[in-house]
Amino acid sequence: MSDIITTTGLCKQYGKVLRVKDLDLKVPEGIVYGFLGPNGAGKTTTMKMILGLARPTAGTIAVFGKPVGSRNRLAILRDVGSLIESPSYYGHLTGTENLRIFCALKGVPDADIGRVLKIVRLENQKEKKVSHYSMGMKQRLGLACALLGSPRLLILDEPTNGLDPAGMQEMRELIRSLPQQYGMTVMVSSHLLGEIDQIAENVGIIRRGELVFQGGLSALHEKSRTNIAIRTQNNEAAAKTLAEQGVACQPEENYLLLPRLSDNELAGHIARLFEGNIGVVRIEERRKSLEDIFLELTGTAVSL
Amino acid sequence: MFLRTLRAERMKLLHSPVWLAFLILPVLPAFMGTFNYLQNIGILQDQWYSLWTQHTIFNCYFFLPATIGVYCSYLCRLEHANHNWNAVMTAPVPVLYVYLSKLLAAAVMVCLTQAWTGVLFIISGKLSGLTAPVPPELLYGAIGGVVICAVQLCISFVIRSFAVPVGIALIGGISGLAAFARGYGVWFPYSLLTMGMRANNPGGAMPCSTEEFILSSVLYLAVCIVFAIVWLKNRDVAAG
Amino acid sequence: MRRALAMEFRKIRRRNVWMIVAALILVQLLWCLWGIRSMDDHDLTQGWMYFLYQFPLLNSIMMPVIAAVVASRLSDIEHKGQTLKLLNTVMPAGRLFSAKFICGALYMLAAVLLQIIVMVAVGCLVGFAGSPPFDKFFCYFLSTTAVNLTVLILQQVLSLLFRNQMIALTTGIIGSFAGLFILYFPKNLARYLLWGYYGVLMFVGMDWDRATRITDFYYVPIDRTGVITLALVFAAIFVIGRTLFVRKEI
Repeated sequence: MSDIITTTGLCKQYGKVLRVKDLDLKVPEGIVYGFLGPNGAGKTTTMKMILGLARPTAGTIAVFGKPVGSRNRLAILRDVGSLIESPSYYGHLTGTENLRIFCALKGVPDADIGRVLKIVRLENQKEKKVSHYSMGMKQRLGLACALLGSPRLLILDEPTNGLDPAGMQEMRELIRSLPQQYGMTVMVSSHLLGEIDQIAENVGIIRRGELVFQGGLSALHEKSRTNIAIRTQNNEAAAKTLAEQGVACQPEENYLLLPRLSDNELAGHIARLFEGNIGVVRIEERRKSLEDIFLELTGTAVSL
Repeated sequence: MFLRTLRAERMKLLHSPVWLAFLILPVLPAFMGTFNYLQNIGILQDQWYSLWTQHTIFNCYFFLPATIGVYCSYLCRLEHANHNWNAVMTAPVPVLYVYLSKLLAAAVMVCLTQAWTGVLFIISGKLSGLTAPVPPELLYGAIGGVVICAVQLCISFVIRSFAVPVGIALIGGISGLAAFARGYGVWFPYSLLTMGMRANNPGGAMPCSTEEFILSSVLYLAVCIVFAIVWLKNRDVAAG
Repeated sequence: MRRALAMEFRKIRRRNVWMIVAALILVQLLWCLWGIRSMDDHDLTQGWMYFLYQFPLLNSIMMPVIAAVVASRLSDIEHKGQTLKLLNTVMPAGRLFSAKFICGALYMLAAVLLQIIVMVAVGCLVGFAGSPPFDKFFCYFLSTTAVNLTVLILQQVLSLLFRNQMIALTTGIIGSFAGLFILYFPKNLARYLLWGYYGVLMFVGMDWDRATRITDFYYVPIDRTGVITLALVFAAIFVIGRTLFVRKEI
């Protein structure tokens, strides 16, 4: 599987600050790539550079194997659909008229409008003026514009922004189905980790302009350590008993966290606790959520 | 592909009150110019041509540039709003076409205005009992008008407010008056319109040769096109 | 109200509204000054009256556009930032309207003052006969400002009520154009057009003798009915505009 987007040493400086530092992205073809990062990390800037909307201060970008620049601009943009920053539209026109304009610009027949409207479920509002749309509808219109002409690559900047939970679910299903149904590669940026967890196959995590992780989502989950948490009727005594066996445990609220143990070892320790008349009332497996992994990697709280 | 871009540009202008200014504006000088002509028929002896001066002189210097400024500001406002530059610059359309399609949309309006002015001129002339034929200066005036469109469009690309380029257009128009009076008229874009319309000396020759006029117009058009392309290509698209 | 006004000024801090106003005034001044290059002695005796005759004519072209630009800049920021909703929770809409008007009015006042200062300075430099007639200048200040403010309030109403600034600016240009043209008509007709009041409130008349090609200026008493009509029109536009703005659903 070849890489549909590759960047080498990508840098972008605004004023005196390097907003994007030495980014080496590799987006494989035919999957959903999640681009994660806290707000202000440089996700939108990177996507803009990939689309040719901003010029990199240093480094190179290649899309479809062609370097991004004025020579290949048209050839690349013909096969790319995008939704950057916030959905673009002409407020005084209806949804259909907006789509017709983009069809004309992209060289796509008008018949495609019906198809994309059906995909984003905006058929009932297509004759309303876009300035009267709710935010969710505008977002869906933006996605519809990006889908026109079935491009090979779709770059979406926070596509679920402003959608209600049902809408977010729909959008997620839609994005997940795109590679299989249309053979599209989708690059989605988000700061909603739970979401990326559900739809992406590969992930790139960016923090303050630097890539701190890139690879399959499964690899990321591997990084998470599992802990066993037990609750006993006498935690202090249990801790002492376990310490005598050489098992370091961390007290956490009314639980004790044990490191990773094999089943036999764990069974043995529990047995010893029972022997010491300490009743074990809870045994749980704690897995680090993606959010915890993310926090670890980025070292920041994922908040505004 | 250019036709497609033009079609898109035309669709963007649906439901917009753009034609309002261009329709009403020539009516005013036609009406009042005729009235003035009839009042002073003793002084203004030159028939059509005198009527012409009354119609056009203020129009060319101030109001047509200002109206062109408004129109170009509106064309660019469509893109400055709602992060639309992102959409425009990621469409598979060469940067040149982005500028040219807008220029053509503005130019079409200017030409229609000129035609409308011509029609009004004939009507008001007939009503006043004039019989001489219609002067062909309207064509040159149209060319001058297109040059102003090009300049204003460049200004509106750069300045994101609506009103400021209109103010600049008015300043340009007045400067055009000054340039024309000093004799540099042919080298200043805003005076090309007036010179083409021969508002000061209707029926006579332009205060410069036809070649100079055409050369200057083409030069300014070329400069504006190059500026627009360089600006669009090299500036990071800041759509906010 | 003072706080509302201060807020208005803070809002336009970096927008350099003064720049475009200054540029337009500068151009107007250059234009008029160019006209006095070739003045002979006879003209110099009437220099002040010449200024007081010419400037209202020039104002009829420039001031409506300046007013339109100022009003548009002040109102555009609210539309662009979609702040009308927010402001409605902070202050009553009527106060916002009035504050914006006062802010714009200050710009217009400054413009006219600048004109007068330059007129006096240049007149003294060039050597107009007699000392500057400050009472006449005061009349000029009042009459010009009166028309300016009426035009400004109309522009502000249009700029605030219509999101598309095209409507306001187009009206401004058409009005300015009409105002200029109507000056060539008998004065009575000019009363019916707001923009014609630059001419209606003029208090210098001109006699151009065709035979001798000498221009003579003379003072004319101020048109009182004109002033009263203008004041009524201003009040009407202000009240109606404010009500419409307050009632408007955002």
